[in-house]
Amino acid sequence: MKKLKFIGNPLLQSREKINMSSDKKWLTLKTTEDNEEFVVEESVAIMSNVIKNMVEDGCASSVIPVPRVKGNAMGKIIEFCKKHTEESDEKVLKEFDAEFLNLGPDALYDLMVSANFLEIKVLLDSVTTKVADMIKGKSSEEIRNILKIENDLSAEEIEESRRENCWTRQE
Amino acid sequence: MVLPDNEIDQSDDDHSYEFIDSDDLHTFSIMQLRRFKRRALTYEITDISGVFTVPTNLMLRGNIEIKDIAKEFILPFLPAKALVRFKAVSKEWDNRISHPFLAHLQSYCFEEMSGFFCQNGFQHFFVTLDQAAYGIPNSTLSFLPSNFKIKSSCKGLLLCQRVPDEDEENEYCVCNPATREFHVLPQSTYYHGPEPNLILAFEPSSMNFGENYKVICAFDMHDGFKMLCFDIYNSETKSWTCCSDLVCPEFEVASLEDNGLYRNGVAYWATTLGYLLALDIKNSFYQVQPICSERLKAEGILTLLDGELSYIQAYVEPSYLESGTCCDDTDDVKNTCIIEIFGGVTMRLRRRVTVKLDMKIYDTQSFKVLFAPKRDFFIFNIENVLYSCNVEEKKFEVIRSRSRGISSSTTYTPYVNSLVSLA
Repeated sequence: MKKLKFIGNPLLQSREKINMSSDKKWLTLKTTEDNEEFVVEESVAIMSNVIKNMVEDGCASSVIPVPRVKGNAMGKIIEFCKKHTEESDEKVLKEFDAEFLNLGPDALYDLMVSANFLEIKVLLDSVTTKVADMIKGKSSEEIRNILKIENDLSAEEIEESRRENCWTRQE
Repeated sequence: MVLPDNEIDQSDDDHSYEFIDSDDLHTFSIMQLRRFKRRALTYEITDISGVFTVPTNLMLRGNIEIKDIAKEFILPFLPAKALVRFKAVSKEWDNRISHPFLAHLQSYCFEEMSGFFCQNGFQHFFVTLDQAAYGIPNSTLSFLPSNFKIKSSCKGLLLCQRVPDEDEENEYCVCNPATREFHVLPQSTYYHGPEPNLILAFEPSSMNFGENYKVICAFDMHDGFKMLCFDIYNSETKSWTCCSDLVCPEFEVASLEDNGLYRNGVAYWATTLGYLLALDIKNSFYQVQPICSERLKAEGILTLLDGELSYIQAYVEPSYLESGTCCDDTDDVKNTCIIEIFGGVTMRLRRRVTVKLDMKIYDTQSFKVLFAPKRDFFIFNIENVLYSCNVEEKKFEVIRSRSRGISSSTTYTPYVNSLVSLA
């Protein structure tokens, strides 16, 4: 097992400063795909069940490597978790979520995969509802294209399905 | 790369999680699995959200793709019409969508108002709020055994009353228009009269698989004087119960408005005299709360807005011209639509929303709010044309133009496009 050392890392110094100035515990999340680091409060980071388990089991030192999640998705996730730990008013949170999820489909899918990987239920629920809303009016062909699903049904099977369920036509 | 068990010994102070190498994704997953197994032994999984926990086999794959997440998590949030159409996406999707567990999950997750039924005399038809996404196979419900009138709805189920011949008892049935399944209810020992007020009470549970519902029938009991009584059908016991102690002398059936609401064990009705009647079924008592509206005669609707029980009234007012004069006769005068929303324990005025209309309304009495499907989005009947109104965009759009089906006596019932199974 390799060990990573932070030598002469300016972030290390600033981290120490933060630790000294407050009673809050801080964690550094590092996305391994693009090596971006994010310093967050532990109370915010543990909105992710995965990180929470690590912290509770005592396995996490102050830097946690996070695979599979890209830097910009991580940034957005932290923004979401911060707001949800700070704010308790449901109405304000709902408005924030609506504004926050005003993203293009690719960004939304990234967010969904990341929220699922990090096990952040609140975020996953919000994103899945939004994505469901976006795809509910599409045809099965469009769904296959968007989600990159292989078509394993024969032409006859598709035709039979269409006939049986002709009421599901979009128009 | 496989980590031997002793490397995850928590008592080892030297243990460091700081490793970065090409296999770290696989390692990450293995460590998760071991931790999951340990936790499963020491903790009871009582959280309902366990339904949505990432299954460990998915975690191990490490290559979780958007299509896997879509199949696992997005499908329960889709409406029935979209789901049945998506059976043609792939064999895997067909299997998952056809499985009864998905129908059960979907009945719990999908709650959006998808459209509504219009009942005019003996005719009824369905109006959808999104042609591509929401729909039912048979708009006239011809799969029902005889001619029924739609009386109430709750989360995807409809309650219908058979149009009885003279001297015949009322017959009720509960159906799901998306799956064409229905139950005919057994007769009650009480006579409900020709026009009882009915509420269908159905709350899908994430845990219980069996879909149980109740039917609350408010009818007049004549015992010297008229009193309101409640006969309640329970689908679990397949029987009616009428509590003789639970009578309401303050009201009669005629004073209850249509489209009462059921939520968390309580049935709510708005009354024509400006009161809210709340009937707690579990604890068998009722409460009356005045609605703090100045316009008692205006017919309003009871609905759930942002999770809160709300009463909504709407009316039109003539606008003033920019020069400051008011003149109803000129075509330049545009009406303003005012929507008042009452809510909270005391039913106080919560919000007043104004929207300018870009049409002139000649009969202000024919202006009625029908539904509030979501925040700042309303359905109106304006001079027998049905409109949707998006407050933010200040737009009114026709969703059903003038037709024989829409008149002043038409009743409207909301509908949620759910796959809930009555089997």
